Amino acid sequence: MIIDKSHVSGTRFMFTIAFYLQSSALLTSFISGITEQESWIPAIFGILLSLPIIYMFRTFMVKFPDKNFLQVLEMTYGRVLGKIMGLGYIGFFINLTSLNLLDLGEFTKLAILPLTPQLLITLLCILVCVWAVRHGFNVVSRYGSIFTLIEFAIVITSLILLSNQIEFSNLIPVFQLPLIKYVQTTHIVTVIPLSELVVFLMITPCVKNISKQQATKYWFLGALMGFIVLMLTLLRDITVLGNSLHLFSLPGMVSLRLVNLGEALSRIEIIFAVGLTLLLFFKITILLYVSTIAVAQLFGTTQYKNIALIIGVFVVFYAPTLYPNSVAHTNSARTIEPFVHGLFEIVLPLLTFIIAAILKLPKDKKSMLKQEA
Amino acid sequence: MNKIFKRILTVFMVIISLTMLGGCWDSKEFNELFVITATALDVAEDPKKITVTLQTANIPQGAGPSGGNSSGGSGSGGKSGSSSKAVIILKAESQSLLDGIMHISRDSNREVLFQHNQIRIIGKELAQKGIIKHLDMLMRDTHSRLEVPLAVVDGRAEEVVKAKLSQDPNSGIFLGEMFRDLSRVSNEYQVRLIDFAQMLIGESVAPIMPMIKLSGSDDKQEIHFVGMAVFKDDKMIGSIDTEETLGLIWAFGNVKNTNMDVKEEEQNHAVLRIKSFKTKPEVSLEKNGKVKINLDIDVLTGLGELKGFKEYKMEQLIEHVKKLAEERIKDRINDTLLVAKQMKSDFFRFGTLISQKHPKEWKRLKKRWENELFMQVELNVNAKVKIAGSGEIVQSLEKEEKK
Repeated sequence: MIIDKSHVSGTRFMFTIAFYLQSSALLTSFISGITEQESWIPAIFGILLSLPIIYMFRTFMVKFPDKNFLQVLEMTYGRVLGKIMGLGYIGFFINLTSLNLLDLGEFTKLAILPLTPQLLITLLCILVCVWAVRHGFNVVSRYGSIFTLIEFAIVITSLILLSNQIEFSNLIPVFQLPLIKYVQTTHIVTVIPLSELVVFLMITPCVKNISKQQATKYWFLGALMGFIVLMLTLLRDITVLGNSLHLFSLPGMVSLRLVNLGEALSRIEIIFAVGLTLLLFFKITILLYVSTIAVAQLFGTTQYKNIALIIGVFVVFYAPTLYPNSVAHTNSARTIEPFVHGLFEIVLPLLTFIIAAILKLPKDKKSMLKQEA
Repeated sequence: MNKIFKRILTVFMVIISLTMLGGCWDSKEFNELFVITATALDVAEDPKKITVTLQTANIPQGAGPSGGNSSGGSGSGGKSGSSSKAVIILKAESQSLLDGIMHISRDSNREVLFQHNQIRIIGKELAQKGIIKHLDMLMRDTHSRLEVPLAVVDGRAEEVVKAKLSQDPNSGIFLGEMFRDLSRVSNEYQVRLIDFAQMLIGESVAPIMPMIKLSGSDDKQEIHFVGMAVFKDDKMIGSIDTEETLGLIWAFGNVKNTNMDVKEEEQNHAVLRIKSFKTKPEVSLEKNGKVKINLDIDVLTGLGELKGFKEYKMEQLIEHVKKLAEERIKDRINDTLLVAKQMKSDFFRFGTLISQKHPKEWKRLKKRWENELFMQVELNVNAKVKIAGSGEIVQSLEKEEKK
């Protein structure tokens, strides 16, 4: 059963991965609050750790090119257990969508429209997302490459504009904190932005006509583009803000606000803010799409268009109830969330991967992606 | 039917987005706003309270968009003319800064707009009592900007915002521009809120903040930059004058667009134009716990002005002035360090330097740093001055005249 019949090319898939990761670069306060100026070290560890995980995702794609992850779960664990796990994943995806919607609302409130009710912003955003999702993944991912370029442009321009305030001495000294903090932060980096790529396992059936090598190439190139932006943003914020980095809830925004080149080029953070909101909007669209497909898969229907609207409205009203305030949000992102995310992003996929290998799935080897001749 | 419905829906969505997202419901016209140009904080009579004084640019009614830039009443002419003030002063006594702003908003017919605040000044007395609790709001608020400079006033800050300057009708804008100009000379001259916060958090750093003073009386008042206020944690404990501040900014390096004067006895006087000024600090820790700091200073200058030096020939003169300049840099920095040691304030940020270069040892030294080790710091200044150009004339005009 194929729910969404849209086909996309491998390149587009790559760019979708890239901008998905890039949009997480906005929210670095989860890690910067813990390891402060040294956050770039756990970020590097996190990137290294996420490489095998991404390889695992790639292998799922190679082995089950026309099955989404929920179908793989059902194949591996049987119908009942697979459905139960699928239910868990649906909860995870919807939760993820709500979290990002909450972030978008809070960011917009803080940076662009301080007096507009948050509900209005999120509601309008989700309506546009639903609109896109109803047209299938083809539409959702259409502007991926442009948005990747926009994000690169934002980061590089901001680096140039802040060049007079960058102090490399802020990067030293290293390894001054207790070891456990690096472990904690590495865990957060690996799990929260990087391994969230698990959502793309729901999308892989839309990617057509690619070989095994191409699958590897697209996964890793896409991730690499995301890594570059994540590292550049972190390094920029650390070098500009120095020891005050951990004070701010949106370090990226604060350093952009400091842009001041000869008085003429100052107070232009609104341009960046709009760009960053755009990226978050895109991430939400992807997540909403994934949640919708997952729900449709669970109930065995191909009529996903109306499900999108229902989930969208649900998410709008569910998101504000998640946390009483942003402090609780950040706190949970530092302590509880990484473990919940880890279960769905690493533990379960890995378990499934191993069991599938023992059961010698998939039985129909012909459908697997082939090596290029 | 369906198509028409879709079109109507689209138009409806666009209208909703335009009106709702534009935030028109809380729009404020220009004449409903107080555009704050300076914020001043002082100690109030009641020691628990502070005085918040806001300076507002008085934009003449009907001046139109072009009049907005002319910084107040001076541009209006006609009826209001000289009688209208360039600024409006709003004042409140309250427990905290935000509280004070609330009082002011409540008692006025307009809303205060902080986005164009040019400077935040703090009275000396309040600075001595501690300012950290008043900065919290400024860091937290979305509308207050982190790049606004801070300064301490020798005296009461409200006097400065009320002052009728001979230099500029609006003292807030004047100060903002003054510090912007100074920051072109050295970044250390301009302490933005974020810089001050960084210094407060920094390890064993004594925060500094520029200090200004108001002089003159009535209509002919002037603002002068008089040096740096030195803080211990968030309390001001002393100050250094402009000459001592020179030693500080030279120790940090990266000085541009300024001059350096060199004197020998009474009559010999040379001014060098600084083209580049680079300082490279190096720290070495000795076994007995002493800290040695080496400053390699490279200065590229050109001759700006020459007076006296009649006994020298031009070739020797350049060599001589060069040596004098090197001596001057060394003495200046060492003298300022002496002042710092007297105040027990590491405003040279040597502590940060050690923590970056020798992090392991720093953990050990940290506790003893302020009261003991900083006192024993050995500073070695290696200044190298190059005099590259002599300007448009080769000889000294004074000497030519004697021939």
